[in-house]
Amino acid sequence: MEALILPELLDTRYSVAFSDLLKKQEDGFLLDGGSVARVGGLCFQLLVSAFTTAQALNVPFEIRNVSEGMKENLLLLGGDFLLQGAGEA
Amino acid sequence: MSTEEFTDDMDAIRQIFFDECDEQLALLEEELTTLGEELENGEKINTIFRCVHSIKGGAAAFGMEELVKFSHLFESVLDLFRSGTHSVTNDSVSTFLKCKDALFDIVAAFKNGGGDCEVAPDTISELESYLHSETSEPEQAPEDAEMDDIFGMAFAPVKIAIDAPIEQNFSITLTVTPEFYERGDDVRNILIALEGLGQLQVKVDTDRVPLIGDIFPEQSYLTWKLLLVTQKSQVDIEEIFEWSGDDLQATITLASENVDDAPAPLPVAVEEKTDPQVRKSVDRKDSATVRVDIQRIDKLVDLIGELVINQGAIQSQMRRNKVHGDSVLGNVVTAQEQLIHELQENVITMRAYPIKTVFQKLGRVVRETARLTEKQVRLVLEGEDTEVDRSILEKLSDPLTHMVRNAIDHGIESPQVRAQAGKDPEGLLRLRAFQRSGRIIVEIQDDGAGLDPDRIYEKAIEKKIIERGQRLDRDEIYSLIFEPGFSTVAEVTDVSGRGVGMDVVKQSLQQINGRIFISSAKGKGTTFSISLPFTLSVIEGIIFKAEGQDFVIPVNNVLETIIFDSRKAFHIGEGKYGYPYRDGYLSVIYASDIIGASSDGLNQKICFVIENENEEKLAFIVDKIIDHSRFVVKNLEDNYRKIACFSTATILGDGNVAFILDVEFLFGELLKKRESSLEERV
Amino acid sequence: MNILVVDDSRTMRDLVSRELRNGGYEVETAEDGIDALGKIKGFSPAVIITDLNMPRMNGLELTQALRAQAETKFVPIIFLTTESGDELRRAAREAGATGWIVKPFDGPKLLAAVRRVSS
Repeated sequence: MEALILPELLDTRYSVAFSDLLKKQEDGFLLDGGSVARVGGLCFQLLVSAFTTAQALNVPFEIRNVSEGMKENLLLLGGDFLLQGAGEA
Repeated sequence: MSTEEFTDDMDAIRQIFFDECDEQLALLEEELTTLGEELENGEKINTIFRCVHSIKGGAAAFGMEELVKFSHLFESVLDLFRSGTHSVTNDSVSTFLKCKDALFDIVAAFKNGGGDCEVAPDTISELESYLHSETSEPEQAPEDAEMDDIFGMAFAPVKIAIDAPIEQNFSITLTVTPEFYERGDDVRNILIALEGLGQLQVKVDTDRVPLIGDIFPEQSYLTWKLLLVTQKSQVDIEEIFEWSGDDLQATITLASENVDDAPAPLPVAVEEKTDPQVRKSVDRKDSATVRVDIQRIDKLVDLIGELVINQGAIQSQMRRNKVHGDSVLGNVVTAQEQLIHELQENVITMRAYPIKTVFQKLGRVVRETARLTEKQVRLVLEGEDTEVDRSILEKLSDPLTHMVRNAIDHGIESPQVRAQAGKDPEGLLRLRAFQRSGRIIVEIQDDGAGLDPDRIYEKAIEKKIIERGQRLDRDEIYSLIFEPGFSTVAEVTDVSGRGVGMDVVKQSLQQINGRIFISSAKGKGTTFSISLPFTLSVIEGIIFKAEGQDFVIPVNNVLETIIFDSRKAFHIGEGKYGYPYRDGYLSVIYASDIIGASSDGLNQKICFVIENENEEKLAFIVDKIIDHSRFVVKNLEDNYRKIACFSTATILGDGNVAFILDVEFLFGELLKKRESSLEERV
Repeated sequence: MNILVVDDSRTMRDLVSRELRNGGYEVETAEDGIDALGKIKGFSPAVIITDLNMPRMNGLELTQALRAQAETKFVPIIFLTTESGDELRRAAREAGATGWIVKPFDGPKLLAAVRRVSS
């Protein structure tokens, strides 16, 4: 499975495109967070949804290569569970 | 202008300001002189206003008070012309020109380093006459209110006086709307700002987030629950939400003062609108409280439970060694028992929360349900301060939510129907909590259509819950709505939930030893009363022996204890016996049958007359009664394999475990027997 | 980070720019709404700070225009204005403003507001 490289800004403006991308992931969610600087509420929500979907369908969910900024933002938003098993930058 | 060079030097910017003042004053003069020719020109007044406004803005930035004051007064008057309150006459033009000259003089004075410049008093009074003529009320000098704004005095946040920096815990709930994001804001911004005030714990409620295939990316599904430990005041926190208004449904609650150094857990959601009055009362109440981690109190409750057990052990040793109760040792031990009892009651109260926490959640449920069903509902809350053990409170929220929805969806009629029936189109839903004889009563009362016994009866037949012709009194008919399968998915509306019927409500209430009663009058409304124990951790019970083992039965289910005379028991079907009681007879359940041991049953000498919340009675036959006492309830699932008729246990004084009988199970057994005899008859 | 400052008064533009640049931001300025719309492209501001009352196109009209464009639909917009009336705040919010600061110009307050919407 190829990792989806996340952009620098996971902000409100990116949420629609991000949603479209995630909806196309059929075999699970393998994301690369190496270049992410910021995560906003709406994209965070999409990550949560992907995570829940992965659990429901029993497919993998992993954010690899999590950047410091992404980690900080996810923790701030209460999304520590999204980082389970995630490799850090 | 795009290549305009940036100026860093304040003096240079000050110079730019004066240049700009000159430009603005020149423009002002030009507009004013042509204004006389075309008196009705709104655009001109607007330009004039903007010139003065611009001078005022810069002057405020440089602290040129005289200039701000006068331009503000001038601007206020111009605003009356701009808004059409006054129309331009030759007189007013001449006043404006005088004002322009005055502005020019003040600017020049500041430019030359001075600043002391008095505007001719008659110019000011001319201007003020426009303000005064606008309204008959004594005009407040603009300096008073708005000038404070200009100089920032009024902007210093009004802080609630706190003598020393005290750390406080605020619980904050953020429900984010899509509009919040549409205005370019983000939850991240809010969280960062809050983090800047102190120590922030974040929990996100993801329950409403759909799967990725169903999600709308610009919709908002998350709710954040925060705990902020800070020395700042609530006003400082509210400031962060100021811009967001209703787009961010934020509730802030002062959890308590004096944080201990243990990592504070997120409290049971306690939400309070930040209405100043409520806040005041919370402040007062909390001034004498200490925040303690709930787990510590749980631990304390457990430890006291052990203490009670130990106490029992001491007493049982004393009996064994024949120590007399009136001896010195006996008296000390009795006194200690009393103390432990008090200690236990006190600690259990510490774990109690006001039912307000649940009621307030229901407020939202009511509004939402009323909206969805297009009904008008007024919610009245009573006894919000009634305290309930946390473990009960946690499990009370779901059934109450469901019942409230039901009351609105099925109970309260539409405004039209109500009006036709001569009722207030607005329905009344009353939630009431109070204490009665050691139990907590929660009532959900609506003034809707009331239950229709005939319809319930028909429906119960249709659902094969009862047989046609079965004779039931009204209360028995009402309680049919709690039968599994009575409300089915097909009939469930959008509001009342998805396949969750009243049977689930009843079951969840039973889990917390709750009982439910219905009273209803057709056309007048329905009242559901829920009776709850004050706590789940201690029960008053009777310890009895059966088949050589000790068991406990909760005393509030025991109506009466009588001597069992096996000769009076009569056979009513295979394995089924009756026993005469008052004018009728009771179905008999032998403890030996339930426990599974087989004996001749000859030892069984005692009959408990047991009653459940539906006022059904049965006779439960045991060997003998040992004691009547308070027992610390231990959850059985943790330690033992779950046994159907016992969900909990207690540890007795001698260290032995005694199971606590689940009374509802006995009635279930009885029902099974009834059904099998029905089948036999068929 | 890029910030666009829109104000018809050069004094205000300079004061605000100075503060922001001291705070480490890249600043571009515009004289009114129309000027601002022309400067968005190629500058891509992360935050826009605008005056309310300006010739040609005022702050409310500018905000509405920005919210209607994909690139600036979600850009934080802060009003910097002397008008403190509730009515005006409501209008600003309805137009889609993220927040507002009331003059007199106060450097730390300005920087705090920018950080509030863009950290």
